[in-house]
Amino acid sequence: MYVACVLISHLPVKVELLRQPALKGKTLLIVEQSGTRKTVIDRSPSANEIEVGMPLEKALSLRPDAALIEADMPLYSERWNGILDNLEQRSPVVEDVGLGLAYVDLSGLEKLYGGEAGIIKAVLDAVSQIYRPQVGVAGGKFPAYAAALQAESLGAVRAPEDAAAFLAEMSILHLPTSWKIKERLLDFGLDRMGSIARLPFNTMQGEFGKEGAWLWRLANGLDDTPLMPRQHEETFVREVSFATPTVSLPAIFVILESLLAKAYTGVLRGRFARVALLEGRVDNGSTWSKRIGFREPVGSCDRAMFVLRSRLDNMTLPGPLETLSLTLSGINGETGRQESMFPEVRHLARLDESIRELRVRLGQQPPIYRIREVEPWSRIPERRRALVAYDP
Amino acid sequence: MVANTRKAARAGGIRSLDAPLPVRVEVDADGRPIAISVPKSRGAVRKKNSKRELPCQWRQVSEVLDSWRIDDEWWRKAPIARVYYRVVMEDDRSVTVFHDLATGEWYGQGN
Repeated sequence: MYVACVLISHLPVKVELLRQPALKGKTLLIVEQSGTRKTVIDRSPSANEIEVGMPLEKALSLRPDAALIEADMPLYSERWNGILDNLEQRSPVVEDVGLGLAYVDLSGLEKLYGGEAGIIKAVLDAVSQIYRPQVGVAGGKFPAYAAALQAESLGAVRAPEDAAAFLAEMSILHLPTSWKIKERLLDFGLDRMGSIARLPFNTMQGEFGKEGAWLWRLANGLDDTPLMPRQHEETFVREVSFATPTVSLPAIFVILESLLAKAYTGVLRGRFARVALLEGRVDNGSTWSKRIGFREPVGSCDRAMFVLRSRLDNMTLPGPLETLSLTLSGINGETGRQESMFPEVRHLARLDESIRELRVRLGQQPPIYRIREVEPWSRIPERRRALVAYDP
Repeated sequence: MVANTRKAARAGGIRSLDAPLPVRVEVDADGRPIAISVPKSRGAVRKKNSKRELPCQWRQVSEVLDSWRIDDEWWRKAPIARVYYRVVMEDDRSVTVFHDLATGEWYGQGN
C-alpha cells in the first residue's frame, strides 16, 4: 500500500476565520451540541491544552477567555467536500475520514506524475493554499497520518521504513480513538506511542479489548486497513433564494413544494427518495440544516410535502432564511402506479395530463400558475400571495 | 447522478401577486394625489419582459376614499415606508396607489 494523508488542521477554525476575519487573534472554540452535551469539535492552534472531543465545561475551565462559536457543520462540509472533489481529480481512491483528514491512494500513480515528488505536488495543488495543508506519505494510513502531523504547512514528510521508531515519541493524543480511552491511557502513564508499543500485545488487548489490540498495532506502525473510497450516490439538489429573507413557514413551504414538484416531475419521475436534506443560509451569515428521513420511500410531491410539513410545522429557525436548498437522496428504482378510484383525483390527473401535453406541444413550460397563500397576514400586499408554476 | 448545476440561486417558478407597478402621479401641496397617469384601456397589463410602455392618459382624481400608512421591516437595510391612497378617478375608476417614502416613487398596486 502506498498512501498519502492530507491533513488540514483546524479546518473549522480556518473556515470561521475566512468568514469572520474580525475573530483573528482570538482563541476560538468551535462547539457542537450532541444531545444534552456540548463538546469541542475544533479550537484555535494556540489553545493546545484543549483536545477535540473534550466536553465544553472542561475546555472552558482550561481556557475561560475563549470565544465560543457554534459549529456550522453544513458550511464546513461544503468546503471539505470541495477539497475532496479536487483530490479525486488526482487519484481515483480518496477516503474521507472527517473534516480536514483524508487518505489518498497513490498506488500506480508514479508514472502519471513523474515520481513521488510529482505526486506530492499534485496532491498539495489540489488543496487551496489558504487552508495550509500538510501531507504525509507512508505504506499505511496511520504512519502517513503521523508523517502529515510532522510536515510543515504546505509541505510533505515521508515516513521511514521503521514506522515504530518514527512514531515512538508521538503523543497518544493523536490516536484515532475516543477521549475517554485517551484519558485512561494517560491514567496508566502511557503518554507516548513508544510506551504503548513496548507493552506486550496481550496486556493492551486484555485491558482495552479489541480497541486496545488495534491501538497497539497502530503504535507499532502496523496499519494495513484498506482505503474506503468515498461513496457517490444519486441525489437531487436544487437551491432557491428568497426575494426577502423570511422566517415564515408558509413562505418556506411554498418554495419547498415548488422544489419537490421540480424533483418529482423531472429526474425523480416514477422514482422514490428516502432522505430529504434542507439547508438554508440565514441572513446573519450562519447556515441552518435539517435532515429528514422518510419512514417509507416517497414517490410523489404531495406525499413528500405532507411528511416535510408535519416534521417542520413546529420548527423554529435560527433567523430569516435567505436561501433554501433541497437535497433528495436514497433514490431508488421505478415502480408502477395505481389509478385512483375517486373521481376528483382522476379529474386532477386528467388536468395534469392535459398540461403535460400542452408542454410538449409548446416546447416549453406553459404559463399556468397556481395562486398560493404565502403570508396572508402580511401588511405588505405583494407578500400575501404568490403565483407558483403549476408543474404536474 | 444528478449534478449540482452550481447556477446562481433564483426564485424559479415563483412570482408574487400584486407586485407594485410604477405610475406617474401629480400631487397637491399636501402630497395627496390629484392626477394619475393610468392605462388607456381598463385592465391593460404590460407583457412580461416588454420594454414598451402601455399607452397612458392623465386622469383627475375626483375623490380620495381612504388613506393609510405602512411602516415595516424597519430593522432591515431597506425598510418599508408607504402611504397608500384609495382614490376614485374622474371616469369612476377606483385605483390604489402608494407613495414609497424611502425612494419618493409612486406605484399602483392591486388595480
